[in-house]
Amino acid sequence: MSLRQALDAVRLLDRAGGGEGCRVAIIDTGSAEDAPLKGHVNLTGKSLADTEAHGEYVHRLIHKILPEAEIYMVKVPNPVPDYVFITAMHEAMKWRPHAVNISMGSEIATDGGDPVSIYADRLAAVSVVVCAAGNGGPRPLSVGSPACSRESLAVGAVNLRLRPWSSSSRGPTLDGRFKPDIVAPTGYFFEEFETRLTGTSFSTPLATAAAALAASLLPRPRLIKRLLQLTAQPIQVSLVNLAFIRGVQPTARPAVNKLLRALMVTADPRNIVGMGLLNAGDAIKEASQLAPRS
Amino acid sequence: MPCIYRIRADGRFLCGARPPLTCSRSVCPFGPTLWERLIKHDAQSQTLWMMPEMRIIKASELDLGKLEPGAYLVKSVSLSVGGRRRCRSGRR
Repeated sequence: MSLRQALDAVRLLDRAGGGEGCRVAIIDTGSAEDAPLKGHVNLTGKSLADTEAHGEYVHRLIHKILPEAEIYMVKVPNPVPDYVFITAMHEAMKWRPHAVNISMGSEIATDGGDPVSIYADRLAAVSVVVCAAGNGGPRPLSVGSPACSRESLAVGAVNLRLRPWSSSSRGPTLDGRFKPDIVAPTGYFFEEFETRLTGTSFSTPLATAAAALAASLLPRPRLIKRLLQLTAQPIQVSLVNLAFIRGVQPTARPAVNKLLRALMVTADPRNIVGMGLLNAGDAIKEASQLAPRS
Repeated sequence: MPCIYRIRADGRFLCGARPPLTCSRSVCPFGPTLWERLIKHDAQSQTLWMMPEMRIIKASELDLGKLEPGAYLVKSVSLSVGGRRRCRSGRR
């Protein structure tokens, strides 16, 4: 699958336009030298250019999808201590972007009470905070902060056949909330750079572009997050075949019942694919309909 | 999967979500089943967050007697790209 096909799958291909008037902030490991930046903050003391082959692709992807958008970058080291990451979010908030792309995170499950998640919630009052769910799947409880926060949009991944990508992190959060919120394709081929991009880090920019477009029409970040969830296309997730419990010995039934109760939570489709596949076209359409007429 | 609230202080493990109570099955805010999973792989941090004021302190400087009502403690963590299965940008 090419990037073009991935954009078509999430109905972003014909909706993107140029992204004029959109402001997108990226918190990542650096920028691409061949894509423009409107502003940047460097928290590493090194060159702004990416050396991790990560931030540069996130930057290029967003520029490719929204060539007219104003893109801002906060460069952070990898790995980044949480207090530096909070500074990065604080710097990103100053630009008042429509959406913030965060393709970094921890895989330690939280209940949203950790400082990074709390600050992400604060940032979500200003911008749509779009976070990669992480690549800790299929282990349950593998979505960490800031994707665990209540107000951020956690983006998981589906493979090229639009089925759940096995390594996409799964919910629930420690306090039992469903995560991720939506999913977008990963593993697509970025033709211009002859590169295949794999991981939730590269499914997140697709959602960020959609969020920025919608938020530029209707600047209410929490509502945009909800619109992106509600317009997502359902994905069929094959759950465990429960037929195996037939013939279970009566003595083993308590253990099987305990296992099934755990499966009810961890194998809930909403903890694998959230509300479904990103549907940028419908989300942007809904945002434009809800936008106040001038 | 370590727990962000399981904090070692004064030679014992306390529940950072409910300080100064000791981390145990009955105290865990996430229930006994999750508690068993959370304590299996513990990792301690050199620094802690005093919440909700969001103040970072060294773990050795923690004074449980000075905790205010409603305060809770969280381990400091690092964030990274990729995680267990690193995201790849592999050239063809």
